[in-house]
Amino acid sequence: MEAAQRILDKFSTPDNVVSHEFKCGKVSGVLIVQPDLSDAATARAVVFALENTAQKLGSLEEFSRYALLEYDVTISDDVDDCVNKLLNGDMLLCIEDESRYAVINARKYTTRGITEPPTETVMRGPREGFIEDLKTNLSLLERRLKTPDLAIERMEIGRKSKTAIALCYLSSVADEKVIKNVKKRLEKIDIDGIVDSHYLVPYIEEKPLSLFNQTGLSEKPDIVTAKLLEGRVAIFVDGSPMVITVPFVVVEEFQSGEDYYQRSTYGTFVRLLRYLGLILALLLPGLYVALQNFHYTLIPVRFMVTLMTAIKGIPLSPLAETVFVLLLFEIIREASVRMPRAVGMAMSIVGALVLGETAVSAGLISSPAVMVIALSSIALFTVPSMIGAMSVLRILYTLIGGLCGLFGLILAVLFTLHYICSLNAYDAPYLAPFTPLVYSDFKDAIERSPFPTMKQRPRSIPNNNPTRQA
Amino acid sequence: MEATQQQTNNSALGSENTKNAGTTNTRETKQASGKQLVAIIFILAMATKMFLLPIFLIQASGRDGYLILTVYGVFDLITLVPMIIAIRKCDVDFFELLSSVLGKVGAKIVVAIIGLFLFFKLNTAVAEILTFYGTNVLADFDTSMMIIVLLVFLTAAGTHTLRSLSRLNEILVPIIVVCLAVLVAIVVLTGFDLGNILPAVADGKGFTAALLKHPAWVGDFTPLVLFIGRTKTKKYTWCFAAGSGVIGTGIAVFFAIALSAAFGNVPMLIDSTTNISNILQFSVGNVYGRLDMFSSVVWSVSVFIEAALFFYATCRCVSFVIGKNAHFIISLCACVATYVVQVFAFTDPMILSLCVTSYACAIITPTMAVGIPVLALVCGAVYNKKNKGDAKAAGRQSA
Repeated sequence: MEAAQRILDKFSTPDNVVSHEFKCGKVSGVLIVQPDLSDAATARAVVFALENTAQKLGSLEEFSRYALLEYDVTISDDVDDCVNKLLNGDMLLCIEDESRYAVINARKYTTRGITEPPTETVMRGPREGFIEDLKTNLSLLERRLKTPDLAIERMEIGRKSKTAIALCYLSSVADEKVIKNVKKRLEKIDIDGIVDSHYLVPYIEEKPLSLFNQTGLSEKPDIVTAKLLEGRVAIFVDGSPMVITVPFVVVEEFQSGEDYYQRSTYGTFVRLLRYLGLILALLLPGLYVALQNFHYTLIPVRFMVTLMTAIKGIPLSPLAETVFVLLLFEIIREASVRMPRAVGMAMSIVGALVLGETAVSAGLISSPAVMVIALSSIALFTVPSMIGAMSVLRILYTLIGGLCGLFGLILAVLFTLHYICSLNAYDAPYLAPFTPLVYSDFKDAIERSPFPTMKQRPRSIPNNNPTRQA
Repeated sequence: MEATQQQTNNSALGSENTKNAGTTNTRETKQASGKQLVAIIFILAMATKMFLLPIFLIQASGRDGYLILTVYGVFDLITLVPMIIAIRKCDVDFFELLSSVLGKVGAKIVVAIIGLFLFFKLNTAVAEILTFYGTNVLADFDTSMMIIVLLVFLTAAGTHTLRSLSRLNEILVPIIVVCLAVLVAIVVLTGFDLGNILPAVADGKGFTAALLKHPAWVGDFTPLVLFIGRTKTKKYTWCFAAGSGVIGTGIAVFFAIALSAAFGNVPMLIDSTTNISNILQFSVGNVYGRLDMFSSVVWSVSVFIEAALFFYATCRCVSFVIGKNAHFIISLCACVATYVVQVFAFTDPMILSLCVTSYACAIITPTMAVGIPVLALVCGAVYNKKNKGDAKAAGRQSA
């Protein structure tokens, strides 16, 4: 049969698909199925229905209307489109003397269950997390936003992977220019395949080479819903549990879903701790080295005496010692992330106890250096999404602090801040509400105000509807 | 390239903002906001005047140093007035304003002169930074190496936009204010005898000579010309801008008074202690660490910002004169020029001192400090008049 052959010819290994010939009255036909992606029960039921129909059928429309009434059927004459659908799990029905195809929806993939995402665990609040199935993810979102305002625009990216992408936003809230800009950037992508949502991130960001995140990534439907309600746009990618949200501002790094499920006072306290954590993580090793190398007069005398006693006899310079401990920490961290869980525990013991303790008692490194790096490293984890950027920056700050003292350290911080100030993707100033100053947005920046006081949407994020509650 | 990009962004945002009327979001049609302008004026009024100038003045005129600084401060505040009016009245940027009033060639000549002046101011600020860190903060300070770190920051400032610089300043102002508060607290709590600054102007000749020797430190508000036509302002921004200038100058004068009261009668004592942070009587004491020194060092970011603003302004002047928007290349060239001046020309502090205290400098700097804002104001008035005339003529034609 010509129509079926046209489809099979498209495959480099036609054995990958199953073609089943059948006879329905006097009409013979072929049913083509991709067994790995289609529901076997649906395929069997369709074959049974076709072979046992009592009516006399002559065209695809009649087949659709009488024999396959209970199935989702569309008729198409585009061979490439039909091949694409076949590869997505649909079945193709071809009959003799007909060049068109009936596409029967029989998609069924094995997906994992909805579980709590390991990257965003909470003590309170919803524990649902997105999974790798786009349909399930969209249903999780739609269950939380039951409004016709919720726009879901679908597209495919990847010449070979044909990955399904869904762009979601609230049409009455999200800014048209942002939506247009995101769509334009997505449409421009010409790549062979998208494996995960992270593939899209550099295409959506204003400065892809930057050290700083310029897009939000979340695995939790409640967080994505809240972001959509603030006027952001979410991008779902089939096969990825991570959802991208834009525009993105730096305060989002300090916000956690759980902040909103706790008492607001405690939420504010925790946020303050995160800001303090960031400062400690970034500057503590650099300051320690700069003070020891150049500005020991700035250290109070009592501390100075203790410090002098502790560093006495250490063969390495303060800079070399601190950089050594920092690198040691980074290596142990990277190894424990990659190690299987069972080995990870042993790894931590070896790293923390054996290496750290032995190195101090052997007089290779001083205990203040270990303590400073340990404090800085613990502080690093208060803002988990910034670990990458902060790890790199703190090593740079340590080096510059050790070589140029406070002069270099201050200039390095100024340089970084100046760079961050230049980030302005999708008209959302990256450092807002700190600069430009947006007083109203402070309610959800350093502070976590109670919901009744947050009557407006964040002004830092472009949106069409500023009022959130009366 | 970057300027074209900025223009595109601005025009695109401009049309959007008209629709949203600035109610829902922070889209910036302009490069700087009114608050950022106020913050910049505060820093410019205070930074270099409070840095090393009081020491130089005390060394030159003894206890009357604070009076000379007050004269410079008031002089600069007077020049701030036409500058603020120009920013308020003009909707187009400074270079466009000059081009339309003076013609392209005339504008380029004027901008070249302004650029040279800004480059001189930049070098004064950079030299001060290097002196401060070389004498007070870092032992074995190798200027030729350390300046590279500073120049990297300045290059970044020259490459990015005025918006980034304004935002950087805005975010740092609270930290600078906290450091100032700590320094004020230290100065007030440790006490100083105001009687030491009296009688004022006992040596009239010495006072006049010192007054004429240091005008290189006036004209700190000249880079504000870049804010003309690029600042989004509100009704009372002008009052706040003027107020922040007065407060900034007041703070500089306060510290000059404190320093004069401490060292005005014994100026030779501050030869080795060139900054307020090194005045031992203000030190909280080594038991608690040198909080004064730490605050001084963190406060010095205001001078870094001022230097960055001078650098940015110099680069934009060069960019206009040569008619190219290659900001990175221009910044790099300005960097090399600054390096050469600082490392080869100003190696000997004597040369620097002779340069900034020369009579030529005493004539040129105040002239430029007054001339630039007045020029901006006059050009703005002419431009507005011309535009009104054109609009009327167009109205008549269409009628």
